[in-house]
Amino acid sequence: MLQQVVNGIIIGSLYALIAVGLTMVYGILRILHIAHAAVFVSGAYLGLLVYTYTQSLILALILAAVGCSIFGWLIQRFLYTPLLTEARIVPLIASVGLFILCEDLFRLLGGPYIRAFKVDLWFDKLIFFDTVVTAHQCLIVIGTAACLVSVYFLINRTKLGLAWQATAQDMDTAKAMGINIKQVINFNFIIASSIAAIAGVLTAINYNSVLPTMGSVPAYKMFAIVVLGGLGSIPGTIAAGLIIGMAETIMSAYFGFIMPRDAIAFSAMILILIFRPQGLFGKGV
Amino acid sequence: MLKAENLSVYYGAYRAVADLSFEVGQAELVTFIGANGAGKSSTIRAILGLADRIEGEIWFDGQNLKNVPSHERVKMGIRIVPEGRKIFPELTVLQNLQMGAYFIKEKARFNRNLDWVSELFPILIERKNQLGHHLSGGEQQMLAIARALIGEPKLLLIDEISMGLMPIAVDKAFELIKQVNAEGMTILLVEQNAKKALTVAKRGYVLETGRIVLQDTASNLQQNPLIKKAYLGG
Repeated sequence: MLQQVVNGIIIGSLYALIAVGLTMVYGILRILHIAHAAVFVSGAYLGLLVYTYTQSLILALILAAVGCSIFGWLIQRFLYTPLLTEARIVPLIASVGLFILCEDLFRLLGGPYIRAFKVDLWFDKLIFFDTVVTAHQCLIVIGTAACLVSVYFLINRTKLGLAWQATAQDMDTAKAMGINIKQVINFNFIIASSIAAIAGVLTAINYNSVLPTMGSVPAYKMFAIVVLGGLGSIPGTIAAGLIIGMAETIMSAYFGFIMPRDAIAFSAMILILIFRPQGLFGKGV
Repeated sequence: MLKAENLSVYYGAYRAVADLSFEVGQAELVTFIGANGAGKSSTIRAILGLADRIEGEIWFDGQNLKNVPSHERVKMGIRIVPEGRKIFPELTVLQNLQMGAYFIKEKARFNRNLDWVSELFPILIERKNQLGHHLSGGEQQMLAIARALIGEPKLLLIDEISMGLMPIAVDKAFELIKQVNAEGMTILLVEQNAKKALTVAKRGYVLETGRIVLQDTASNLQQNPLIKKAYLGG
């Protein structure tokens, strides 16, 4: 049981990392950023590329984050900003389109097969009684915690973070207070995309694989998570990521015959939409 | 200090304000009166650079505001008390005030301003760690005023301060407007409550369907039979 809880936390924290970016983008621009999953996959590829050449995991994480920040910024600048005045469905469709395009680009550039992402850490695994925590799992927990603490710090303890919160609550009034909205949006995409990149690298290490379609399931599952946590709520999203990760692992370990693993998040989303549409941790609609 | 020439304000294809020319002098208190939909709020938003599109010119402190983005205008010293208060509901009172003083980098200067607004609104400091949406309507209005004042406005734009307030709170708000103006602050006050507005203002413009139909000193406007009939209740 404890073993399953550990595994659930690992999966859940990866989900949380991906979904936090999505909720941040929604919080500011009110756009459902499907292409965030493309940023996530490009993070995995970039990380693999850098790791293959340098054998340095730190460098792989940093360069993937930098590369993805640029990618995320480009999406914001050249896809979303021109479409902001359109109905909200327009940027959503553009975002889905970009995601599909990127999947094919990854296939063209990276090849249609699975590439291994094998990282050797300085220890192999920790064993507590009969619970095994692999070195990779430790890495994921530490990486996730570091990312989430940084996000918390940036949002709650910096001036730009305060401006971010104000903009998410009321963009028009934030403007009237003299907030440079462009700066806030850039800040938003840089944070969201760098943590997606780190999530990409960590996911690739966890499964020892990088493949063009690794973003397809996260692309839609992160929605389920964000809806569960309450759109725009960062703590809610993190909690929802962990809940889904845990539910998936435990359900498939003990009740595997009820439904396929990936169906759990979506079933939770449907139930939440029926009974508590503002999400578990969202405030009233 | 503030001057507009042939100002028209558009929302999409809709023209909310047409051909407005007006002026607000240093340390003056000027009011725009007019019914709902006369274009008063649109004019205020245009001064801050928040309108979709404008024609004509606006000058502030001798500088043409064309192509000046709204955050730069705030930096230049234009502050607003928005219609409907618009405090940030999920930020604390203190954070709301920090948003009002976003450009004030020096901690000591911020604290000095904070002391000043705490004297004006002691209740806000008692509640500084409460979230904005936990305040009552009157307290929210105080916070909206404090948030504008703490940023050291050179020009204070006030949009419908009396709306949704109890009469006693309205009196208090106007008292305060009079007081800060007496201390030398330039104020443009947009108000449906013409009676109140004309008692504190020095001059007034009367807006009807997006145009200025009359301008005069406040005391003359109070005596004007047409104004009395249309806006002051006979």
